Amino acid sequence: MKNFNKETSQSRRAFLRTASSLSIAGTAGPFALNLAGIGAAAAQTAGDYRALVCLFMYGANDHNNTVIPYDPASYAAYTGVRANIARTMADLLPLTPTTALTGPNAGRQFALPKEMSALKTIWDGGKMAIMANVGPLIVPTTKAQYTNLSVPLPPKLFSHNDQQSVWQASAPEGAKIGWGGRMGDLMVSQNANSVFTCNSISGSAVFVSGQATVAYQLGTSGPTAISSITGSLFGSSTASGTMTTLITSGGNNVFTQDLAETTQRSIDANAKLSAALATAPDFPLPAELATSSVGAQLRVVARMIASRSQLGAKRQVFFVSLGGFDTHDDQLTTQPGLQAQIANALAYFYNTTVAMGIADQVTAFTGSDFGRTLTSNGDGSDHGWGSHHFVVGGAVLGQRYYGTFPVMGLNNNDEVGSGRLLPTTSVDQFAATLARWFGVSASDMSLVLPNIGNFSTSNLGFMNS
Amino acid sequence: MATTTNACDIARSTASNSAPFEKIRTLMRKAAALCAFVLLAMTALPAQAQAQDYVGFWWKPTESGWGLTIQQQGNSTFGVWFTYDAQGAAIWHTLTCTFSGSTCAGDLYTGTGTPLAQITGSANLVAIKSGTGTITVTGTNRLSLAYTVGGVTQTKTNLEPQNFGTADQVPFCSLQSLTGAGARAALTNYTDHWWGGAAASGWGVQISHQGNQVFAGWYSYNPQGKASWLTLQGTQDPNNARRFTGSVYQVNPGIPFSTINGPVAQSSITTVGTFEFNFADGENGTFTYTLPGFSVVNRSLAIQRFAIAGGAVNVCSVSKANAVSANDASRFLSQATFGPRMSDIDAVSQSGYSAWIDGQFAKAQTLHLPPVTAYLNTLPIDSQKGQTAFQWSIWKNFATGDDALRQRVAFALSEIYVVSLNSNIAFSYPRGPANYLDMLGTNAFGNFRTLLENVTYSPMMGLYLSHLKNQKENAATGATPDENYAREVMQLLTIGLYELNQDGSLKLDAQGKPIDTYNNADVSALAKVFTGLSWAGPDTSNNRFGGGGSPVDANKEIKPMQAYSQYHSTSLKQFLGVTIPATTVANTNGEVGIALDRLFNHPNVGPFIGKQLIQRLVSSNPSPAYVSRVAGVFNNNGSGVRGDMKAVIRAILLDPEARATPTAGATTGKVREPIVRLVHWMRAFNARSADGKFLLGTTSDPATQLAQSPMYSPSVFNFFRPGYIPPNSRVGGQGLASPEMQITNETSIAGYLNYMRGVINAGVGTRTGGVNDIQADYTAELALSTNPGALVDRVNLLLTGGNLSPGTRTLIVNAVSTINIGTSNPNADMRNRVNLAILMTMATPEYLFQN
Repeated sequence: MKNFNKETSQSRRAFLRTASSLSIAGTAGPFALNLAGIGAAAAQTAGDYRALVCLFMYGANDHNNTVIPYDPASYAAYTGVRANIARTMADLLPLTPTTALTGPNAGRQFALPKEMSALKTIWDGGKMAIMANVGPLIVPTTKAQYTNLSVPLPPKLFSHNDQQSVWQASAPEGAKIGWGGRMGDLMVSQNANSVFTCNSISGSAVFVSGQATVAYQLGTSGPTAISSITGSLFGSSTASGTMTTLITSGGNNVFTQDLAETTQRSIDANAKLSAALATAPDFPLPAELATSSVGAQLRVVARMIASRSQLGAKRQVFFVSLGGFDTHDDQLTTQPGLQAQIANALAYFYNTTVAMGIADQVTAFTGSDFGRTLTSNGDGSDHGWGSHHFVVGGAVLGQRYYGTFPVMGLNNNDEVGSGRLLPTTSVDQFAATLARWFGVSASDMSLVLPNIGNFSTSNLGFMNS
Repeated sequence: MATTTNACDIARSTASNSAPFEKIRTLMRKAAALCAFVLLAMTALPAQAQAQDYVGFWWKPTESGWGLTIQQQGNSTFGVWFTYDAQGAAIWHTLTCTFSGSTCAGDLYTGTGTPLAQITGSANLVAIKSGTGTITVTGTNRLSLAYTVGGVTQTKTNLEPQNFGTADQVPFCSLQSLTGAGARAALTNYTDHWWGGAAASGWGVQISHQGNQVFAGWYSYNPQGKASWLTLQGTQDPNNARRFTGSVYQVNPGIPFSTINGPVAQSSITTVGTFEFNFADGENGTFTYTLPGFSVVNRSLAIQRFAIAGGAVNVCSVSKANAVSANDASRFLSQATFGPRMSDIDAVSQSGYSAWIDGQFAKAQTLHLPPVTAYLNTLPIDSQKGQTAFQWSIWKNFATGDDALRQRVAFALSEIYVVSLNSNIAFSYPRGPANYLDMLGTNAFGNFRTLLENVTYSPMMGLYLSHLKNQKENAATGATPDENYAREVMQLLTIGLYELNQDGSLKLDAQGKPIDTYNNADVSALAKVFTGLSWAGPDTSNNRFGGGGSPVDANKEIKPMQAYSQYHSTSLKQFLGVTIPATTVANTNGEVGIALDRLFNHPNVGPFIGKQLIQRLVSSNPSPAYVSRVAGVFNNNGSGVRGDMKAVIRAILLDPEARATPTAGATTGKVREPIVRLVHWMRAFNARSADGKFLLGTTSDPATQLAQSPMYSPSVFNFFRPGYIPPNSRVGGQGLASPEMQITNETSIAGYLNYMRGVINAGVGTRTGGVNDIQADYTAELALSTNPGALVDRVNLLLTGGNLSPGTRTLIVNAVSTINIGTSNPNADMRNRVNLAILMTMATPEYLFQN
């Protein structure tokens, strides 16, 4: 069995290397056998359902005003640097963890801004964890190593588009495979309809693109049917059939072929998902989310999860997002409303999974381009690196902090200038903890997160499993 | 009554009686095209000094059924006006005139002669002066015909040449000094005035020859000996290029000329016989016809090309120097504009690419700010103004601006120099964004350094990338300057992240790694340079810097930002190898100038910006050589000037890689942006706004609209990234980028198709009285609706430059043919055919990928 497992792992690597299994000639024999083995093994263990939901805060959420120092010394240091962009004490909702912070963080206390009261409720219920100072790293990195460039650093730090990509896919803009998509590659065989393995309700996102798994992109109104391929079209009863042929015919080059293929996927997915959603609960959004895009996105996720049996889904990855966090200006005006949306949307979603009786099987987490500077640029903050994030779900070991909070202030070893945080936990570790819960084996973890082997642990402990 | 001379030696034939014109109810598929005067496109630009060439058939698409033929020899012009008399009977009038400038005025003649069925030689014309007529050139491919006939004085405007063959086979005619017998014997295009010769005059055929088709107006006499006409439509014998056979058609009744206000009824068109042209050479032939209703069987008459004795003659051929095929012109216009109108295709076909670009460079800019301001002035002073008027103006100028190249490049620049209305700017500054897009349009034909300067000082960019009100560092509070603009002006607006070779490839260091163009220290230092800028106004007070101040400058949102020395950093600034020493006196504008000069002169700008402009207009994946050629022009326009945008645009559009005819499987090209597709529809089908302002707002919803709206990108990173590679794709598998595919997905594909179905069918925009404001004018397409092949060919030319594969074309033609044109509502049926042809074409991957 040990040998079999090893072979399995190798075959998975091969599978992931050969996109869409286009060609495994030469080694087809053993690999084909082993692939069959994977399917059989998966079938045996696929009695449950799990979903991971990434909520990405585009533009880079200011973490300093999200998980806010609350103990007097830290708060004083915070207001001392932030000056006019600091939140006032009266606006803070202090958090009480089940276990007080220890070690370098002993005595530290933190709070959420009042706009995020809905998340505090979940925290208090033990279903939300806070991940401190997480960000892209290739290896564990000290400030000296950063300054001396003596270890490899993530490419294009502080650049929005690149760090969005690094966060989602361990590589800058141009990356084609994200860690959500790689998990999909490993899990797709458990799903009856592969198309619904990785889903974005927020347009293109590399996070949900795998090597073999294509992200299905749908809108906040659910799947969209193409009206002209059914029924009468401009007075012709047969034109709709021709229309189907025309829009799904690939033409003579790779662009037209890709366009046709996406169209075919649109048609197929719509047929299946529309039918499934027809009987799904409505899960109406509360009034405070009536105009919220991210709320509407999470509603679609909830309804798809409710349809999981009809869709034959066992493992699903979802991507939703909210933009507008690049608060170089007017931060105190802009950010609170966005934070309220995030908190209310996550709470709505979590409560919906509770109502479905599936909260233990659904985990949502936040991501963002990067953190922001601690310093003020007048009325906003600039591009940073490490940030704090939330994990919400029934399987979360919540009401606890994970990782290490930085020293509050400037000119220390936790920051690389203007209070830009040097991450103490890598996104890979954060992701691996989620992936492990999702079902990725330890031996497959480096397929999902190529640099995970550079870190001492791949399980930060915030997930029950 | 004197007969006309020269060309009007059409006269003199014998008359007799014959059976009345008999109606033959057999409607040929091309009947509609026939009753429409099928015409040629071969005009030259009116402004040129040489003799003008307006040879061909001219018609008014909205009044299909009558027309004007023009034959020319130099400025000497012979026209035949084919129309209907007060009783609706077909009648012709000749017009002999000489062009002087843009007008050609003369007397109109009609007459009597030998009835058609009895003509064997001369028709014995007795010419009768019927009035006066004037042809006036009113624009490229546009004429008007003014006349006074029988007490009726009218002017028919906007006559246009009609193309009935494949447009790239439309002949071009030019004046040539060919004299003497047989001088034109070698010609293989038969477009001209053909007659029986001096001894058999009084009748003739005005032939138009396009590709393998001929169409002719046959002017003769009815059984009562009155001037009348029939039309001929024939096809070339595949085995004998000099032989054409086809049918003879009659329109009866027509609409009396003085009351024509629409197309002639379909039911008036009948087939009355068959004919054959057999040309012995380019000058002589026989005309054979059988007209059962006229008791004429297999009559043959000799015909010859008409010539003014001793004069130069107009020679028509299917090619001329610098001419461009219609498909190539259409393809070019899809790159250079939001998409071609038929008149644009004509213009490029005739002038060639380079002259067309020159013409575009000379056109006045169609602006957004004036109409936006005019509209705002009509609103209550305290109303919420927003961007409504700007959105309208965007669609209007994109769709109808005469400066089509500038509009297209301005849009491309708006996707690089992004100021998005998907921000608070939209609510507070109703004029600033319009002025910003105008500024991009102005600089589209200017110099890049000025573009960079104007972008940097724009208060809209200042708001969007937050360097407006940016303050110097404060040691006491620890506050540092806002780094937003400093970073993005390098990363996105000028030099990019990595050192580039001129061909756009990465420079590599000794370890084979890319070389960063800047680091975070450069960003922080440059951020200090961009401090101390804020709103324009009569003073530089702290209040004004902060957005207040009195008096308020009502135009601050459209004025460049001004310097406020008290907020500008005076400390040492070192960036990109430039050192600005610490000073005691703030030098805001001087330092911004130093920084912009440094960026402008960075060798990356040519390849970095040049490649993106290629991607916006021509191809997602230009070859390194293409990028290098364009960057080279950016670096030096040939006269030592760096950053000449006109030269860059010309280089992009005229590059061999842009102009090469695509081959099967070739990947040069790009996915058309959804916005461009919609505007393309507006242009191709001459969309008009009932209100006049193009009342259309945003189109951003991917599920129900276009997933994209002009000036509404989600962030400064535009709707899509230039290096976007679609995951799990064949495109990506070949290592190719496809920026537009970043907004192409399962939802947006469906949303686009559904949206266009509605738009094509019912127009788009604000609905008033059940009608959308923006409506296409499908007149020309409707005229072809009885001929699905011709209809699809026209749509294919307009939308894809003839890019549909034969198989796709056949599918669409067959689908269109399934819509029966019934008797209860034939107009609706014909409209359905047009709708379907357009929707299907715009739905195909072959359209969506512009190559």
